[in-house]
Amino acid sequence: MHTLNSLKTLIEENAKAETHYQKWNTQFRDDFFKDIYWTYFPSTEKYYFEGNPSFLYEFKDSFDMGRYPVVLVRDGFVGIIDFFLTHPKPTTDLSCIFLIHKKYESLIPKSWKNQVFLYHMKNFAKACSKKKLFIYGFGTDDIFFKSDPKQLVKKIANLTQDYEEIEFFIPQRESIISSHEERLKRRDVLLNKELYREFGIDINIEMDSKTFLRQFKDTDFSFFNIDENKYLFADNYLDHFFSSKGGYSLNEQLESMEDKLCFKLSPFHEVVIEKMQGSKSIFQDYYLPFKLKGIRDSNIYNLYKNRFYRNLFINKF
Amino acid sequence: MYPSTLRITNMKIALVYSFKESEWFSCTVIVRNLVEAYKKAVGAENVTSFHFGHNYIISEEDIRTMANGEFDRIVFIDHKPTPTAFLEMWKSQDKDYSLLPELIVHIFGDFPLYLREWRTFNQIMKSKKLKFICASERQKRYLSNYYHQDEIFYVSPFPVNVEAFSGEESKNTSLNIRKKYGLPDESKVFLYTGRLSYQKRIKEMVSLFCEYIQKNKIENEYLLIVGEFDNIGLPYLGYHQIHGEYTREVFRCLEKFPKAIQDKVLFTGKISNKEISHYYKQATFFVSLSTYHDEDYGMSVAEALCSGCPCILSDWAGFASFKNDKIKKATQFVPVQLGKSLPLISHDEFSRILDETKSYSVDREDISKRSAEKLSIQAIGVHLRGILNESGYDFMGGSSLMNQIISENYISSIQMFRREATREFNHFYFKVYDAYTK
Repeated sequence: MHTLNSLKTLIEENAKAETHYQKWNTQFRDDFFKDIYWTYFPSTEKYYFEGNPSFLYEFKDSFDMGRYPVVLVRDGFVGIIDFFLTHPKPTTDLSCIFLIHKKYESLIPKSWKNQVFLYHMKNFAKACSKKKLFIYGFGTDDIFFKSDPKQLVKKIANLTQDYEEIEFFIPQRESIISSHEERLKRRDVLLNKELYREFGIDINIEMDSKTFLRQFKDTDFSFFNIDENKYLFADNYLDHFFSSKGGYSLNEQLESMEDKLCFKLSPFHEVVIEKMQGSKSIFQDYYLPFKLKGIRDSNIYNLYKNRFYRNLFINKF
Repeated sequence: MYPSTLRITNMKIALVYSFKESEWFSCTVIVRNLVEAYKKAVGAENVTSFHFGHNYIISEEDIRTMANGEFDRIVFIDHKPTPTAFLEMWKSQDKDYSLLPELIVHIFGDFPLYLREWRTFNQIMKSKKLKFICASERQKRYLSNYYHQDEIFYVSPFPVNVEAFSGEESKNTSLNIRKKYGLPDESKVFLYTGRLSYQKRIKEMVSLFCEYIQKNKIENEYLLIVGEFDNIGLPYLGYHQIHGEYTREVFRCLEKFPKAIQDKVLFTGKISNKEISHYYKQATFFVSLSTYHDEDYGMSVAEALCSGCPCILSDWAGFASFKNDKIKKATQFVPVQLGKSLPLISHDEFSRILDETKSYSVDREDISKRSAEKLSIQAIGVHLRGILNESGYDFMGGSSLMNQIISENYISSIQMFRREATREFNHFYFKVYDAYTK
């Protein structure tokens, strides 16, 4: 059984080891995930941490994944559910330690307790002088499971009230993982329409990520990630990007426990790793219906579209 | 230096550069200051600026204007793009380049990255009047490997807008860095400003500073690191990093020391240019152990010196040109040797210099005044005036070594200085980069 101390050693040793997650040679599980990865880019962009931050579908299979001693799972709700539906119990060929986003602790089956730790990101930049606020994300379907574009823009409008300047980085991206029917609703377009309605037609909504990231020069700013659901992805590269530039996060910050491991990822933010707190697992709530349907294998594409899992997310998170 | 009395009667010059800011902040400042220096050199009324964008495009109308015989010199003052695309477009107006006036090109540290473009440049410019201006003596030495034609090379430091940096810091300054970062009033602050990049040797600087503090049980000294981490790595050896990789490398190194020592190293992140002069004026020392392959000059060093801040520097490339025997202890140099996969910095010597700073006393006003005399826009304007006034020589093209490196570049691209079988530098690297060491 691993303790925080033994995990610390494992992560530190991983910095020197060959088991370090390959930076460039990503083995996508299938081509569709590759499409999703690039649709959501740069949110899905890689960043460095000795704990091998990666999406579960970036590994060819569980054997490929099992070669790494630690994996920080960047997936959100669907990825985690998919993993535990496929691996309800730990197996000998998958002995790595998984770091799973703290928000989804209750999805973890009890049988995995010895192999899972929780993580969240902590931004400790000082609140800025309210000069500039960056709003970013994609208007894909998953961010509207709990609110519609109108409600989201209302929330944004409340946040931006005191700021002198607001900049939007909201590239229009189709929800390629959604059903055909849902895709036709083009919520990304609706979101932009609502933004123009609220903030006026003169606002600049930056679409090109290369230009945006390369030309970024600000030092005194706040930021807000519109994807608070973390349904598809829980760990967004842009959060790291803005945090490492010294930005102040307006997104909800999770509380840290006293007993924790912290690794600074920049002078202004860190990854906090904790033991599972033992909150009630809802594993049976989603595993049993899956089993009863007699489905043999699961994948995130079907889970994303499935009403049952979407409702579970809406009700429990 | 050229005498300030030297007059140029109505020499008209065309300055070619990108009107858009560079992604490298120091280049934006350099270009801005060079424009002002040229205005001082020949009079603002004789300077016309032309936009040559980073997208390699210059308008046909601008080319026509420049080719109408009005200008005595065309001066390229930006780091990017090289003049090659410009010359290729010039051909559309003037097939045999007979209307091309003398060309003056300021060379920046990224010269080897664009060798293929310089190859075409060499072909076009052969037998035409040309001057290269390097920012430091060692860069000139470096360039001499590529062009065996001493007479076309000039050295002129990049100018500093001294008004922003000189003058004593007011005691009631709006920005007190010690207060801002919670440091004791009388603490000694070692300051680094610039990109936090692998080749800037931040990890070594942090590690050596912490060892020095730990060994000597020093209480009141701090290392203040201003700037952002990047992921450039070491492209010559194919060592590319991803976001946060170098950050973790530096923090891993720092985390080996006890908490009390860790607290002596502060990372501020990027700060605005308006604030930077306060940092130079209030820091006890500026320190940089950079061995960056592009370190042709050192704009932050120039600004620190003009602010009166003494510097501890690696004896590498452009940094060496800041040695000024007239100012006692304004600059201290840490020896550097070329190494197999990274230049080798003398750790012992850096520790010795840090140790020596305990009994240091410098005349900051003198440092500021004498540095400004050498590096101000006014001073560089006078210097450039002399260079402009000299008659140029016919360009003879690149050296055989340059051709060999270009061939290697066609095969290995940016990794032209890498050995085939190992992640180490090859013989080309040792031949040309020897110029960057003492």
